[in-house]
Amino acid sequence: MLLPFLWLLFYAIQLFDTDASGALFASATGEALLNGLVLSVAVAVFSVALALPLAWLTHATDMPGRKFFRVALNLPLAVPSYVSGFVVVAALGPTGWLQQALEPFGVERLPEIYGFNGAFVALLFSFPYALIPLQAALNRVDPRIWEASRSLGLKPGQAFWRVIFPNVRGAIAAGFLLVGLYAMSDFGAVSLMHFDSLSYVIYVRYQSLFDKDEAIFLALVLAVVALAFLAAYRWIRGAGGSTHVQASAREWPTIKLGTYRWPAVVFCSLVTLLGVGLPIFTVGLWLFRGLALGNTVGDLGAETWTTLSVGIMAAFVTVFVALIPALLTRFGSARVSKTVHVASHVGYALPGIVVALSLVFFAIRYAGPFYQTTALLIFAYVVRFLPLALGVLDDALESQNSRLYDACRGMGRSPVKAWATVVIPCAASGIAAGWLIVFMSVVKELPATLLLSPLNFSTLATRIWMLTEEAFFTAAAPPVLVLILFASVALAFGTRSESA
Amino acid sequence: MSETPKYAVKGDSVTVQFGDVKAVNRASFLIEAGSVHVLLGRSGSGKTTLLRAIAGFEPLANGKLETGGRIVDDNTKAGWVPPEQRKIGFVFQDYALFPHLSVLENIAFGVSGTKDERHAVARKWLDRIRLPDHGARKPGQLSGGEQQRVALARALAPEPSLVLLDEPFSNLDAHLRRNVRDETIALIREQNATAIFVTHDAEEAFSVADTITVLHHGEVQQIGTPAELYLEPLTIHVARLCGPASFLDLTVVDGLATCALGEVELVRDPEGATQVMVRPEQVDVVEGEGAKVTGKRFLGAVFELDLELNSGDTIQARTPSNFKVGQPVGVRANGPLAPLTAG
Repeated sequence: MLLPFLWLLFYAIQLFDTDASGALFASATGEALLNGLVLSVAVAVFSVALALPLAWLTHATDMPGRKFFRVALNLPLAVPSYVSGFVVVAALGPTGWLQQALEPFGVERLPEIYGFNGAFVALLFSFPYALIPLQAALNRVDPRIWEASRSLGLKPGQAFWRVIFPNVRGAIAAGFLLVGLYAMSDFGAVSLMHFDSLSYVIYVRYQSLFDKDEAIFLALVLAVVALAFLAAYRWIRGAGGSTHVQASAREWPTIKLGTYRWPAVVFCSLVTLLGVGLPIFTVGLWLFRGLALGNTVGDLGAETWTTLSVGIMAAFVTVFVALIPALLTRFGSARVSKTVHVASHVGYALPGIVVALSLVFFAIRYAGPFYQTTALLIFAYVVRFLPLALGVLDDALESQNSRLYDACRGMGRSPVKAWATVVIPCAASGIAAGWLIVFMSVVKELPATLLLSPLNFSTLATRIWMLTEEAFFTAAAPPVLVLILFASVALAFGTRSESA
Repeated sequence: MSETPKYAVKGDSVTVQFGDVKAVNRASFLIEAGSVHVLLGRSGSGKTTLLRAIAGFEPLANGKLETGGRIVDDNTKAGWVPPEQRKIGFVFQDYALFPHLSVLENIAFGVSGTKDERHAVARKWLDRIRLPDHGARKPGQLSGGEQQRVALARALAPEPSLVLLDEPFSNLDAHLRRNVRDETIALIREQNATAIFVTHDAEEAFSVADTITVLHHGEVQQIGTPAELYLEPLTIHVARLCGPASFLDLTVVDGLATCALGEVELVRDPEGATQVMVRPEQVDVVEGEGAKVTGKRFLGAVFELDLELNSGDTIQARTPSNFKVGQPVGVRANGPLAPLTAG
């Protein structure tokens, strides 16, 4: 998991004498870095501002439909950034439906969508990353402290800011960093919007004929920034973990909103509509237009098959590989466990474009025969998503009663036999959830697929990206629909088997 | 206006509803100012809901609530006083201390005044609960008993005239419970505050209460002193809740009450009652005939005997004398018994 980063470092040191290292200090690099940071901070601030009232309303009030919204508000997670990029361009772009719909009213131009604006809007679909930790934190807060503060003389608003807010501050910071990291690492949206943030600039350099090596140094900068986000995240989580909060499975007292219920519902519905409804509406509209123009849906068979087969294969390999450190963590030493966890966090924080780039250079240099093969692509997926699988498997094994394993050993089985006959079968639902999450991530993955895939190899993701980039919205609509379908089915099953 | 009312809380046909379920149904009660009152009942009896309604956490669906002579809930939106304006201390079952604040800040939370004044009050309370050096700690670093004391100090520090305690000792180890209980009562009495406890444990209720309200399925079954509830229960449910009891069929002819123990005195007019309650210590066991010992347990000070009466009824009795299992014995009631209506 650390391999890409170390290799990048190694390669950069080798190249340090060349002109390429000048990229480190070029003003263009600083600009791209600043662009990326401004974008991620803007997205993160806005996401947190959105997530805080949403989390509170769906958690503690008598707002109608709050249980529905608790789930529905997280659905935009199923929308990868290049799809939200497609939605933004196809809806708000120069030839998007909104502009066309407004044309009769004399609206000639909408505000410029390419660049910062479009990337910002497209990345806002990642706001559930701020919502999820907040929901979890509110769940851990003892609802009685709300009542205690009320009985000690605080009005509802005061009680929120003086008692609830301080107890979820860590989760807010964590959500901020998660969204920030997502936006900083994002490739899909910024590339479609031609926004010169670090990851897009890396791609452009890599594609150019002469400045290929400069991409290495830029990738290194991006990796360091991402790791800084991760370090801050871990620091906050660590600091937050020390405050002891009594575990309570109590239902929150529902706070009566009175007539404010209706604006609250409108607010939640609006966010859900924009997050879930807008993509579906936009895709549907262009699909319908394409059909009306006599376009065929197009032959998606090949792309769908490639996407599915690569996804299934990569998910199996990843989960299998992840089982080994997961089992060692659970039944091995604490030190091994700590190392594996830090490494896995680092691995996951690395932006996809960085992992892809480092593997490309590695393959060209040392593994020529593997360059542009499916095997290398799957290897890239494993490297990138192993931490994800590991996290799920850790949770599954952690929640398993350790006496099961002890009992099995006590009846004379070796550790490996105990794992095979008891531990793994009993964790089957968790393992299945891990598989689904990896599958979903592979299906949605863009930068590594783009850089590492064999010639004439096209997945749904790469096809959507290319078609959107050339503004063929009618042609891009069908694969988007198929992809959203896959992702939401996997998400629905994934969350169901996790809660079971 | 000038005279303080003699009661701290007055409930008039209080009803709290969750959907279609009436968690508290037409409960009427008066709680005397300065007394310690206990709401006693099994889980699901509505006792905690009633306490929460008094605190202002649950609005009434019907009826009226007064605290300190002021109407705080008349089942209308306009008449509902929010909890922060009721000036009532509340001690939660799991304490609900603010995890992000220090112990000192927790206690100072509800006190009014400048920060220095509030902290001075809180420090006084730290001394009172014998935790003078724990002010800077976080609640998570305290033991259960210490957390309970901090929770009590936090509730009492703003000097409320009414303190509500929701099963405050249930999370404590048995050996701690008694001490903490006595200390809690002493602190409340020192404040001249009225206290309402919720508990499901009759023994605990008896040891702290001046008066007790027994709730069952959301309805008030009986209000009285511990001794009244124990010896003169109005229903079989109250009789069972308040301690071990046997029940025998009662016949009343021309004012003469008889049961399987023979002729008995009653604590009140039977009014169509069909049974009497017999507490184990209300039976004298002597050498003789009339019953047989079928079981025996040594309780320390006394023996508890299972007796089968000649009528076929079984009762329990406590006696210091050591009878043998299988031995025939004589039995008689040693005082007036409570007549009850079956069912």
